[in-house]
Amino acid sequence: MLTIESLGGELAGAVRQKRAVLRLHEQVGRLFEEAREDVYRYLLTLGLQPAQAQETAQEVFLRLYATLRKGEEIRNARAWVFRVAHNLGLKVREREGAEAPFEVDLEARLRSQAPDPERGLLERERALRLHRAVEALSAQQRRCLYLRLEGLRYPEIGSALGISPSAVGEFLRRAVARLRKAHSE
Amino acid sequence: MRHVESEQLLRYADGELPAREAREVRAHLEACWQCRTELEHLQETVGECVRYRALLAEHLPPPPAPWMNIYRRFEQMDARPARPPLMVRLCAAAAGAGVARWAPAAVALTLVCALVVYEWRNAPSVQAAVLLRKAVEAAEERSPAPHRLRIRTKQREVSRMVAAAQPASVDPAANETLANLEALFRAANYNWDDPLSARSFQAWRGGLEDKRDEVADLGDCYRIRTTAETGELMQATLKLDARDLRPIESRLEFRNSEWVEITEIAVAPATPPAPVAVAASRPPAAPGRVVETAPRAATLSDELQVLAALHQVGADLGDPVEVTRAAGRILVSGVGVAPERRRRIEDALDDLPNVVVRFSDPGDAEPLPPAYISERAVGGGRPAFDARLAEQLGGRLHFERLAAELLDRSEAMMSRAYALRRLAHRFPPEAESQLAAADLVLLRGLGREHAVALAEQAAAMERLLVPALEPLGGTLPGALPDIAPLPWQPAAEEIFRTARQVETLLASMLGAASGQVPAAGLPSQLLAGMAELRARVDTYVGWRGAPPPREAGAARR
Repeated sequence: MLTIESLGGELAGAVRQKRAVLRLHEQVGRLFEEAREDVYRYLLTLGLQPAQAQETAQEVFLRLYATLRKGEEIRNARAWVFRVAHNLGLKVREREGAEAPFEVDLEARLRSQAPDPERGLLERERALRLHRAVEALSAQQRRCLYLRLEGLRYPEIGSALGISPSAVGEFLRRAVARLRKAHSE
Repeated sequence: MRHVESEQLLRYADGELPAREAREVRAHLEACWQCRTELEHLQETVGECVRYRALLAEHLPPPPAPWMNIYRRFEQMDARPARPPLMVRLCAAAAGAGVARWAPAAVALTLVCALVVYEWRNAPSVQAAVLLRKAVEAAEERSPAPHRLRIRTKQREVSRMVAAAQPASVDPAANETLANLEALFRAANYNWDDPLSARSFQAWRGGLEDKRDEVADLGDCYRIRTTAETGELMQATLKLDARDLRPIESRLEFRNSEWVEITEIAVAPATPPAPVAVAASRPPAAPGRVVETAPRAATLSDELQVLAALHQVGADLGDPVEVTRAAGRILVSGVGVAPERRRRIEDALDDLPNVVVRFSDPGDAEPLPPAYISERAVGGGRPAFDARLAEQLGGRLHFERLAAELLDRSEAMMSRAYALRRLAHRFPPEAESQLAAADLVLLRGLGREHAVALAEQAAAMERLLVPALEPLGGTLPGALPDIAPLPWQPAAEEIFRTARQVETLLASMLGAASGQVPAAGLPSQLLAGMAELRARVDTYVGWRGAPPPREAGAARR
């Protein structure tokens, strides 16, 4: 039964509600502005084509808004966004299975660049070595590494990838060990 | 010494170790050069990874398309779930426009009547609630005038005054009937002070646990009938005039098989609108009767003191508190006032004579259940105008901050406008003539204070609006419009009207209301409204128009 006789209560409620909605718009809007490029790039590293990656990234933030609108509590919205982006990204990849995954030819791009006098040739070589090493990581190691680079904690990474936090720790340890080896070569 | 394992070291550096384990690792690191060096290598590799991420960002292709306007998408999503009825959205818009909390939304009456039909599709209980709410709003819009009621019961017919002192009847039987009825009404939780009103019906209905409603459209009037399962009053019927939702007739059937029919007796238009005349002077029918029951009947001056005391604690700005003077006393009544606030109000009124303070908590004054709010209060389709404004302001975020501040300001402005208008209604010129010089000074001071505070809020709104609206084609009138000096009561009414207009235009601009105004002219209309408001307040306060005249621009900013 609706008890809406009290206009005063209703108006106060409506003003509060309007504010709450505006706050939510602002909250999600701000995160979108801050994190959309990161999510987009993460999706590229998952192998999505740029257009798909952008579309998927946008979809993720709309889902975040819809979830918060329903009153669900999300403790770390950024982590939530990456988790959903990861799962959605994999689904898109699955759907587009026939299409070759997107890959950035960093090597060619770096080589085509005139050596930056500031960074120098050595620097470029080191970057390439690291890039190869990252490419050589296992898929799980690489995903753990990327998500860690986006600021997610072990349990959050674990939740995105469907593995335990200690497994995340182990994947990261191996990834870091391999990258260190490449770095010190 | 057992060294820290590499995985543990990484988890330590990442803050993922439990506190005790982390303490042990920290202690070990302080002691062990080897592990500390290991940690440094680890940090170096982490640093490499961060640089690698930046490098990747540099070389990955940028997004192929511009990013969507996410705020517009939010709005589309907000509008998508079952659209709330038009009336509800309208109320949300009025609320968005910052209507003072307890004050009624002055939705135009014609609109109300036209829109009532929308609600017919709803369940009777919703229809009844909405209709009553609209009727209460409409009543709030009318100035409260004393009126006489005809009350018929099984046995006899009596009449009584409402919103004015009741001159004691010479007929003792009539007095007895009235006393009995009052007791019956009180036992039934039905407001005896104003028995033929939508508000009283609404308050009674809101307090019922178990009820059944019927609403009928009888052409020239609406009939609401509510049947209660419990309580002294079994069934109440209220007829509302279809044109203006004014209560025409009420019939109450009590469980003790008593019934009461109440209608208003038409009062000749020449009747002085005088709570004053009746209460302060001697009632013509029975001089001295009021004095017998109270040592000294409350005067208009006492009422003014009560208003001033309420003003001191800010209870004239948005608290659901009403002041009425009847039967030689001043009744300060509040609905749904928080206990702490009640105490403050009671303290403020403690020393004043002839004051009765009555607070109540009808169930219907509770805030809406959150689920209902979330379904309804979000506005429907926004006009494109606010999107343009958002763009103008450099993004949705700025727009929403601006909107939130404007809403706050507008709400504060309207609470002052309502307070000022209430004073003007309560102290018409004929009433003022009974006030002593000191009282007049107090009254003018109260009015002036409201007007100045209103002007401050309006000026702050203007400061926010002008830079935002000018690039959108909004032009500020070159000079303030000329306002003919009026007596303060009509001037207050005009200030209220203009403030309402500004509030409505603002609501349109912020996209809260369905834009009745074409977007192209909106910025200029709003700025013109603000200028008119400023001119009116300036004239009222004496900053303009009154001698010595000030230059028009002097008070502008």
